Amino acid sequence: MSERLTLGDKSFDVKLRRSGDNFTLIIGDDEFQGSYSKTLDGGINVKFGSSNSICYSEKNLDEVYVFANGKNYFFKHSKIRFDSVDQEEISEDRVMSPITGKLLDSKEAKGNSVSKGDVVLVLEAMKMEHRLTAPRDGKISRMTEVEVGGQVKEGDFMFELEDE
Amino acid sequence: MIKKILVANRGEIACRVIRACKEMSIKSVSVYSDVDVNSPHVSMADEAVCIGPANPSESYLNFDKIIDAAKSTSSDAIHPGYGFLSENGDFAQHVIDSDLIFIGPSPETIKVMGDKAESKKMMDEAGVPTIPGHDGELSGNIDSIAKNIGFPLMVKAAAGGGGKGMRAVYKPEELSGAIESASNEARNSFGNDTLILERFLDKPRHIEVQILGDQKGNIIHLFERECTIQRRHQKIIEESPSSAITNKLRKQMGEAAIKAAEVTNYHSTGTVEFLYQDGEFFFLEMNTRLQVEHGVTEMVCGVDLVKWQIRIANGEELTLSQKDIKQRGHSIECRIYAEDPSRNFLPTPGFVRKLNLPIGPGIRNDVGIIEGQEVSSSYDPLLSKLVVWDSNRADAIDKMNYALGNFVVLGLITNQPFLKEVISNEEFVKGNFDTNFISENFADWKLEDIPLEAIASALLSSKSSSSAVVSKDSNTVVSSPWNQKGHWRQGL
Repeated sequence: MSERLTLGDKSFDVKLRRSGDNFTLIIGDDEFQGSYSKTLDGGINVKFGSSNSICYSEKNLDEVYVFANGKNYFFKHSKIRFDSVDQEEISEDRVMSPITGKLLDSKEAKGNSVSKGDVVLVLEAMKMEHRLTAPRDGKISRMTEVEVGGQVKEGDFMFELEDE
Repeated sequence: MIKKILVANRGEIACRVIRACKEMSIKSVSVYSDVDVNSPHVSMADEAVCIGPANPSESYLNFDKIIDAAKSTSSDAIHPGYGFLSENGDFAQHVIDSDLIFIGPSPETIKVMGDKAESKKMMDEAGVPTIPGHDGELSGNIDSIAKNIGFPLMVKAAAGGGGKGMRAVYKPEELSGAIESASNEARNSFGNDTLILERFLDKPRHIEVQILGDQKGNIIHLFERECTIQRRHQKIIEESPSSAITNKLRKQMGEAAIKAAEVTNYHSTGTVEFLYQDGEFFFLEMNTRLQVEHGVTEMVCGVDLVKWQIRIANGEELTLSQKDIKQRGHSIECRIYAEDPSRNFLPTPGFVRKLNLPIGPGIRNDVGIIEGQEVSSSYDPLLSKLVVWDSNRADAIDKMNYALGNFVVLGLITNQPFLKEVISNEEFVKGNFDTNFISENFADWKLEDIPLEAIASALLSSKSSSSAVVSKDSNTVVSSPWNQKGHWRQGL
């Protein structure tokens, strides 16, 4: 079983084989030999060849936050099984909330015809407005059930378009 | 005599003000909303008062709750920080009417300078250069008003600041949408949706001058800050001095800033913002408060602006004269935001699971968060300000690169990797930039070149607990200590 790390639109299928303080990191067909030790402040000293790097990582459910080589990274982490089914492909017609925040305004209603770029919903987070626009021409077939003034979470369904 | 100050703010600026109080042996009082109970500003102060729920209008923006908190703690003065009520003249008046000292300029000055149309008129009369525009009521034929000014133009909230309620308009057909969304944002942020229109300089630098005045009419300037590196019209990197202007221009801008302060009878700290392009500078606005980026001025001038704000509010006279103020070396600030630069700088709330701040000579952290704290979506996403000082700009950039490279913040997405790349950008290093720099050079920015160490430590972390059990069905780690016990839960 290998593991998948996703950062933005990049995914890595990776494996880590450990033997004491040594490990083999397998990314695709490439193998890298390394070693590690823990630091007193909760860090990991990762060593490839002669280069040392003090790294930190924190895991929460399927999220892994990593500091390495001067930068902070955020990965989505999953285990892959051979019998796993592909995730349902997210339709381009379906618009999800890109942020966690408040639904400030609803400019359109279910059944309305919209053109590409029309503002459908307005969200607010950290005092900034974010406008959700129609990704193409079409008719609004479904709308979020959250009412104006209510809270939405990142990834929540907002609205869906269908052909007219 | 000020013996106790209530700080009507949160985050890093509340911590900054409380620190100044402590250095001056003045007692401090924090106010906080429900969601901020674990924020560092609450535990840092001598006393803390909960003033209501997360919604700012019911807590940090609520006059009565703040005044009541000041009265119940026998505070003598209120420091508003920046944002929230800092530029609300009615609030300043309310504070004074409640027999408390407002640490800032007079309510009249705040009101005049908060009205962008009014302040621009005043600057015109005082001989401070201003940008062509329409500063009256936005009524009648807006299209013809816009045509007279010319495109591109800027729609701005008359009561605004910090980039809120601002929209650039490049084509006439974009105008009505921009006006609508700017007035909505203005109403939500400032409770006032009056807008002004003005010519939009297309390749400007944003350069501002710090001023400091006492209640006896003495006013000095503390030179300029270069605040050109912005995203969504909000600053992310500031420095002092600016590498764009000559000493002659520096002198002219300083004199213009003092003129602006004089005509408004200014006292306390203030900032006169200018747009600069092709050897010309124009008055943009005056911020009648402490600025987020005041730290870089403190570093190069060796003056503690917050302590001076307090002394001036206490009626003390400035003991610094203009000739005492010198720019020494170079200082840079990077604002660490909870936002995702690869997704158009969307705010990214979360938990601070790990925070290791860089230390070393010439490195200053103005921090508003602690490990284990939740960063909620209710407030501004500024987490911390990283400020460095060195003897010249090149060395300061190297130092910032080092400091950013040792800034560990885990548990939420921040702009730290982005800032590191901006600081190393060739054109930034050369000093070749205008306010479009980020949108032109980093529009589709993504984290590239992920190092092996990052992947290795991600996997080492996910397997780091020997007691981790993988459940048969779901393949989720069910007993990882990270799933069960975050720092923020201890003691509940």
